[in-house]
Amino acid sequence: MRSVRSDDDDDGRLRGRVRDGEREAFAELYELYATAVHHHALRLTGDWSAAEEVMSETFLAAWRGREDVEAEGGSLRPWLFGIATHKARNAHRSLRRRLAFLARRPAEEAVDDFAEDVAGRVDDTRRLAEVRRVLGRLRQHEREVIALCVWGGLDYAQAAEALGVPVGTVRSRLSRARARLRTFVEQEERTAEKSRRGFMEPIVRRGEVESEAAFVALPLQEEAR
Amino acid sequence: MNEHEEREELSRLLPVVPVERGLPAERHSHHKDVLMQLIDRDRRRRTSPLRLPRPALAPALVAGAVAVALAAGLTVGIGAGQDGGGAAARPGAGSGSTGGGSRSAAVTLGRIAAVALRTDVTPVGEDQFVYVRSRTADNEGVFDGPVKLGKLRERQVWFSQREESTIDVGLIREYGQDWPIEVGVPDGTDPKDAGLPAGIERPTYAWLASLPTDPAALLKLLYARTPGGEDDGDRDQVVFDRIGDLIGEQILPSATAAAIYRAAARIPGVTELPDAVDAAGRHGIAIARVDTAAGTRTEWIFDRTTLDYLGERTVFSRDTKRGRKGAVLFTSAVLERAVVDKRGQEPSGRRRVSRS
Repeated sequence: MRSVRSDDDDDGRLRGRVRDGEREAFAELYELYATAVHHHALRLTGDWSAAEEVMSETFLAAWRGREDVEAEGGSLRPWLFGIATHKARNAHRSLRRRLAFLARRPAEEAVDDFAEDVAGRVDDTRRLAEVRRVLGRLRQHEREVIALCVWGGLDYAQAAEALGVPVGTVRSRLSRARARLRTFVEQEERTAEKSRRGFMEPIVRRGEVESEAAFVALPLQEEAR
Repeated sequence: MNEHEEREELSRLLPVVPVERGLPAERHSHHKDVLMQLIDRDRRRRTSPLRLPRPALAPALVAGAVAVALAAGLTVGIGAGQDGGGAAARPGAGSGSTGGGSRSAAVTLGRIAAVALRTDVTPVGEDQFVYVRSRTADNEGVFDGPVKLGKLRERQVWFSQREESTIDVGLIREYGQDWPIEVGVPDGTDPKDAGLPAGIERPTYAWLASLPTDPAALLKLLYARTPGGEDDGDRDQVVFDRIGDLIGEQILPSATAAAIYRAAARIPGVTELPDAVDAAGRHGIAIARVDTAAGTRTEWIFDRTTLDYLGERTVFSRDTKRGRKGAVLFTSAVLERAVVDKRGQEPSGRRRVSRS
């Protein structure tokens, strides 16, 4: 069922049927994009269960908003990623809703892992923490264009469509993000160099200033896992 | 710096994102179910604002009916709904949908249809009976209560092939005794007027052979004639189940069988499952449909290699108050189909029909 690769695309062929509210078109849309939308949400939220919630809500919102789809156009990926991006923005705003969501999850999920998955999961968790740390240095708008254009595979025009902003805005956000990231990486390299030479303690990650409400739900999520 | 170069540099500056671990398959399909349920709910609300929730499932009712019949020594009755007046007259009515099942289901049903079309079926005479022997178990729990699957038992059926109206539909031999299938005759009515002619309520080989072999036309006819109205719940499911009855306990002419499988592929929500098991423990691929309101999935099981029909099964597609996801409500395995000359006569080997 999940054999569809995340980079498959509908090339616009589903537009008409999605717009008309055809049930099977949504089933296809889900099979094509659920994984990609989940990954996108994961990059934006840095949190597996928030990402799951964002993914699910994205498709429900897509159904309700189907009439907003233009009859003509290309892939529906930008549309879905746009919805997911907005949902991810909201994901951290309501801790209460998150709690309710966790409570709904069946308990046996915590133990349904295969042993061989565990190593991969630890690795993934470390990587995800790294993503969170780096993205935490950026502004929300910058994080979003990075998630869309760099990791999500959208081009600038599609990202603009997803976010409902002019292409120029996407461009300038990316360029600011790039400058900020470069500075950050250079700092890190200098710090690492110093610590190798024993001049100072390795940088303390935890206390770093992260932007906005980033990842308030994290400890909660790890407890539940 | 162009778009490509900028993206390249950005990805160098960024850590590698973990994408190996996607959503577990179970969560993936759970959220799909949630989506499909919302869609079905919205579509029902739009087309029929007064629709009532679907009543409790048929298997419980049937078990109850059999229990009553056992106690009273009665025959198995059939309501005299002669015209079979279906309310919804077109496929996907009330759904606003024009598309059918999933693509893989359509491909598989196309293959099943091709096999059916190549299979020789000897026509059944009007004075003969269609005989089907199966193994089956169904829900024997209390009405609307938790599902309790009964023991597997043998079931044999004989269906009259008479074209004109009759109250004598056939016979079921099950639970170790015979249950004539008769049309109920209201008091004061001449039995001749109460009988049931060949039709969707009493399918005979000749009636089946008279059906259109164009899948679209056939499906339209099935939607029009399958009894039950808009208030019976998911109309697509009602028709899917009716087709399931036809392929399960009848003998279909090759062309009708091929057309009916292709027609089924056009029913919204029909999907393919890679594995299902029948009541005889035989594994195969399944053509399935989820009744989202009821939380059940009905599966027609076919041999993976020969694509012969094996049996049917209904399971819960999600946790409900009546059973956990995956719990079986009904299961069957067709072991033999044959044509015999007399009601209640078990076939001798040579008259058996080739396909299951």
